[in-house]
Amino acid sequence: MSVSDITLDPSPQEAPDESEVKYRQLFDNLIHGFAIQEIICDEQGKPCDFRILEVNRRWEEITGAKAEDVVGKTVREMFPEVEDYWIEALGNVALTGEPARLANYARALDKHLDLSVFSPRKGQFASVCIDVTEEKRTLESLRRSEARFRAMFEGAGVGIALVDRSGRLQDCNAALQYMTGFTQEELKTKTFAEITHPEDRRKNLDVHEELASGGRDHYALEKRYVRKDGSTIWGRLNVSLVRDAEGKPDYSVGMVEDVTERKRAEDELRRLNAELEQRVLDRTAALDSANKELEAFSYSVSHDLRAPLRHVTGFVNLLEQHAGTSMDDKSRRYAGIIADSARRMGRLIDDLLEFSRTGRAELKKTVFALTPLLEDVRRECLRDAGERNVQWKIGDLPEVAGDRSLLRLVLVNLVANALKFTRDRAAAEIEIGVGPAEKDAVVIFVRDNGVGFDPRHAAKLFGIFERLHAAEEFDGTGIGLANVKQIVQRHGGRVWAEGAVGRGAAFFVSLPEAGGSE
Amino acid sequence: MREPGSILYVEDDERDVELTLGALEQHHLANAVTVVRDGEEALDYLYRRRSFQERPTNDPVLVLLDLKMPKVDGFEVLRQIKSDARLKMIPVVVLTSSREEKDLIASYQLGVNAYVVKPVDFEQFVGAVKDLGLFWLVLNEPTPPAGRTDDDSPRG
Repeated sequence: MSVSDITLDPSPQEAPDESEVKYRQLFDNLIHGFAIQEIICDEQGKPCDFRILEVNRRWEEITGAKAEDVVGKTVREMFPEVEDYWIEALGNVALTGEPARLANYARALDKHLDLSVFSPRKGQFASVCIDVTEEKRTLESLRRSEARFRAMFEGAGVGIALVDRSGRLQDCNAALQYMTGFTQEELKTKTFAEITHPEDRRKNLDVHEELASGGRDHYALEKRYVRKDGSTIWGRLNVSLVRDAEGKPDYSVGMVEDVTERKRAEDELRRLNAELEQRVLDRTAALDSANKELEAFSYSVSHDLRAPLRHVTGFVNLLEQHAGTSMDDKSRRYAGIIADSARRMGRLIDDLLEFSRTGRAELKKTVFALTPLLEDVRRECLRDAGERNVQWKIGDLPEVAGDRSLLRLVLVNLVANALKFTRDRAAAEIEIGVGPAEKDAVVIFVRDNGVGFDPRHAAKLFGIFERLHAAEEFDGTGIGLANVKQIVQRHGGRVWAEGAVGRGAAFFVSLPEAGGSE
Repeated sequence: MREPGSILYVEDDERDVELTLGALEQHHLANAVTVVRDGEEALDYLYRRRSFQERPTNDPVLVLLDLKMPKVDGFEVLRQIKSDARLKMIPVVVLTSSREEKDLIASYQLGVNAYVVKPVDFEQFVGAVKDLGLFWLVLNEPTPPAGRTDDDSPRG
């Protein structure tokens, strides 16, 4: 059944005339949906449904229903979800003949429709229907997007301003008002330059000009703002250019973060650093002068303290020669003690000077093998030890990184000590080897079967002038191990000792590995 | 044996002088020693100035020099000796208490011929002085007069 069969053509026998054809073409090609419907009234004469009489192609598209399925059916049959307001408003047009414009949501179609309705004859209405769903949704999302951005703008912790090309503030948020102390209205009468510190104005204007002319799309700078109360704050400013549809510079968005506190902290830090640097310089100078004094001191010790000692030994000797046989044994013994004491003091002075020198000497670091150095040291020590029965056990020693001559001194001290404290052993045993490895360090030990020491005093061993044996028992100045400790520590290593009375001693030295990170 | 030349011994400490001379005496080397008590006197002697105008013209074969002295110190004496065309021919041995590295370096830089640290031990001291005297007065061949370039020395 065709549309014309029902409504437009009451006399189906007749062939359609020319105007009818034109009308149909127009009807079908209309870009808006078009429908003619007839009202169905209830007992009270109130419209309660419509019968669909005719629809065009676009109407089919909008509703998703085919003409042949809907023509002759009622709206409630076809679209049970139809809202009452449609029935009421459209029915009213058919009843009164008053044209109307209806725009509303149609739940049945999930569409927003815009209808122009008129009544072509009593009891009928024709509607021209435009699907405005897309526009509606676009508008809605635009509204939501705007609301979202507005909320971000207003709620942002950083100050935000929209600035036109002349530099005037068009809009600004609460944070910027709070920061500057100006109200929204006051800010809107100002340019950004007016709230910028005079000393920072020029550079800001220059870079903004570049942005406003499209030469760049973004800039960032730190500058000072002058608040309404005249005080100054530091802001970190980020400005982005917004271009219009044609790509021309339109306006800019500036975001300002208040960095006054950070700046203050930075200044404070800078001040503290400068102060620290000065203090380091002062201390270095003080240290230098202390070092100089120490040097002068040890020089004078070296020179002036030795002379009287030499005279003591010299003249005691001359006295003995001069007195000859007239000197009795007791006097001779006293003279011997005087000479011996002076000699010991001489050694003490020499060792002290050596200790002071090695403490001040610059480390000349190289990488070298310990084995040949130890051989050399051993020969030297044995020469001083004379005829002794010593069993040597020498391990496979590694390469180390350090000052060769200072580390030689370490070995000399340790080996000489081992020889000294095994002096009374019929068969002295001295073992030199590699101890359990430490992180990035090698451990060398020198172990002997000598008189040993009380482990309770192990910590004292390396102190200057500390001696665990009486001078008559074993001679020595008590400086050797202090020197060992000093040298090893200056190499970044450490020293320790193990031992027991009468059961020998072992001295350990850790040294940075040759391939280590220095 | 040739006639030993003379030693100029520059030392401000009279006890050191006595000990040194005592040591040289034991080896019959003391006669040839002239002692001066500071750097100024040493230079006066070498240049035959003031109280030494009348000294014999032949220069010592050795200068034994202490470093730390009043007025003009040993370094200055050494510097002047080694920058004088005539005097630089005379061997100079520093005899000092100082074992300081900087003193050693300074001395050798100035051209010293030997550097001896006075041992505290008397026997070693005597030994050192004896060795010094024997070496420089007896073993070592002194500069021949022909090598001297000053004007008041006769040329051979």
